[in-house]
Amino acid sequence: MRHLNLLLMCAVVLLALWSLTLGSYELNFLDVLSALFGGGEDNRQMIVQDIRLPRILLAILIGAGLGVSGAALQGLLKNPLAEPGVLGVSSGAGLGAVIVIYYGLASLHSFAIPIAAFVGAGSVTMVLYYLARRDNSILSLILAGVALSSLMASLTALALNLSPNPYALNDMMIWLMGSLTNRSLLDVNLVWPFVLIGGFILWRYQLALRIMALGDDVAQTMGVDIKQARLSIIVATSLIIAASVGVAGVIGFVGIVVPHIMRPFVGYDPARLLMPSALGGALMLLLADALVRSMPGGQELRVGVVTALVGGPFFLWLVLKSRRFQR
Amino acid sequence: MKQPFLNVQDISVSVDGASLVNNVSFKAARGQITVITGPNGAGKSTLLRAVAGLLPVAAGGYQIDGFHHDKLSVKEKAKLLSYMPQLGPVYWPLTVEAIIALGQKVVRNDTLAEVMDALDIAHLYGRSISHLSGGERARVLLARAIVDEKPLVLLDEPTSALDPAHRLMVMDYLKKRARERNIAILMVMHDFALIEQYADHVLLMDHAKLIAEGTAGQALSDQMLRQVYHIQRGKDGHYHRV
Repeated sequence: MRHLNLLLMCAVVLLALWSLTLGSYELNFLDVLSALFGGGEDNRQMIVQDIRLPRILLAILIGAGLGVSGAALQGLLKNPLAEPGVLGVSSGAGLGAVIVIYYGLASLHSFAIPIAAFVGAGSVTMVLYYLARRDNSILSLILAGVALSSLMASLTALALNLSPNPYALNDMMIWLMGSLTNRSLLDVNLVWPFVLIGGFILWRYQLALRIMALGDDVAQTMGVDIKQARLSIIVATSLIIAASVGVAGVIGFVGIVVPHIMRPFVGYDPARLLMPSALGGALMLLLADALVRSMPGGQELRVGVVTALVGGPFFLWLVLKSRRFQR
Repeated sequence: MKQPFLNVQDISVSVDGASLVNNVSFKAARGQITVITGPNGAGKSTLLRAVAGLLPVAAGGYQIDGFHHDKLSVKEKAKLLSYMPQLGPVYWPLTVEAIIALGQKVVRNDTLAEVMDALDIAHLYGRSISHLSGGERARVLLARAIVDEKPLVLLDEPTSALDPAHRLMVMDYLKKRARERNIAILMVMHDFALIEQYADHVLLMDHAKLIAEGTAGQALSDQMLRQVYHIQRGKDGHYHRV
């Protein structure tokens, strides 16, 4: 599928434009286009540029980041079930944010939660970094990720358990569900540099990811510095995940579902998988967000809940189906 | 012996405190097939992996094309050698041709076709590796290891999964390639008949040490077979345990 990327790109643009028309204030395609480029009434411009656009840009950036991180980690760990969450980086970021909310620091500064998420994700990454440097085994990396992941989850649960008041508990719960509601261009600016830098690093390791399909030993004899590749890919995905979780909370399963769907279209090549996974991730999160926004009823669903509701069963199906090839 | 391309001097390798290769020295020349043989657990694969740069060398060292192993970066080493592990894993169901061309920017179509023809895998073009038999898979992975013509080729039991006809086919081709392209092939192999037929130089290992080397007749002499394998060749031509 030579035109896969082009096709996906067009789909992302079209879906984004359509998504801009969604909302309680009715706007059609033309209204949106003119408001986007500074035409039309001021309040329409405000709605499109300040309310809807940041949300949609975030959906694209975070979806792309989650998708490409999933594809890269699956290539690195040679496991189609690997996911950014598997290494514990997402839950580390989540814990950081929850702690900030717990101590009521979130209201002090709008960057408090994102910074705490970076610290949480960074700490987990440091442990993984240290481990990857002294140990060559993929299995111990995954096991450490699982251990760190559940440690972070239990610390998060502890914070929820001891929450100072029902409001804080509510804040933490809602934040953990993952959402793109009420985000500004400030949030967008917080995310895109990291997604771009992380994505660039991953792009540089495309060939390495392909060669690793024959195992790390063969890859090393083919000129891949395995330790360095492993570190770079972990750091790159952590940057992306930290930025995403810091701004939008925990949004699961995009990183596992999207690469899996894209894989047959690129001949299972881990190198060619990166770009379609990024675009597919953007597409999936845009779709989930559009779905959330067009739901009738007062209570808006959280986008993280939707991706998990779709992704959970899919994950299970994947485990059952892929047992054959895993053996 | 021709000018050695690989020169191993007093190499020792330990893994988790166990000494798996102990003070081994040998040379491998271009244009020749050098075979490492010996009982299971003798340290053959460990030796091969150490030369491939996959295991740290505890003592001694080796030179490839005159360069000491310490001086070679991962990338430089990759230009000098290729390595095929025993039962090498393939983690994604890539196509046969994708695997053979893996890691190369460009593989010329005629090169690909020649190698695939010679190893009898041309008919597998377009198939997924996950649908192949063990012998077919072994030939595909072998094709990957030799297609880019590195001057030193390290092969860990490339023929073990093959039927007798394919064993001969593969060895014929390896010998031809070694001669024509002036490649040094260092391979681990168990099959005595194949070793006698194809090896230019044989290294016999036992208990982490190099016990004998020379032609097949010298390294696998009756006395060595008795001492190392506890077998002997009877008058009927069969091997018997002693």
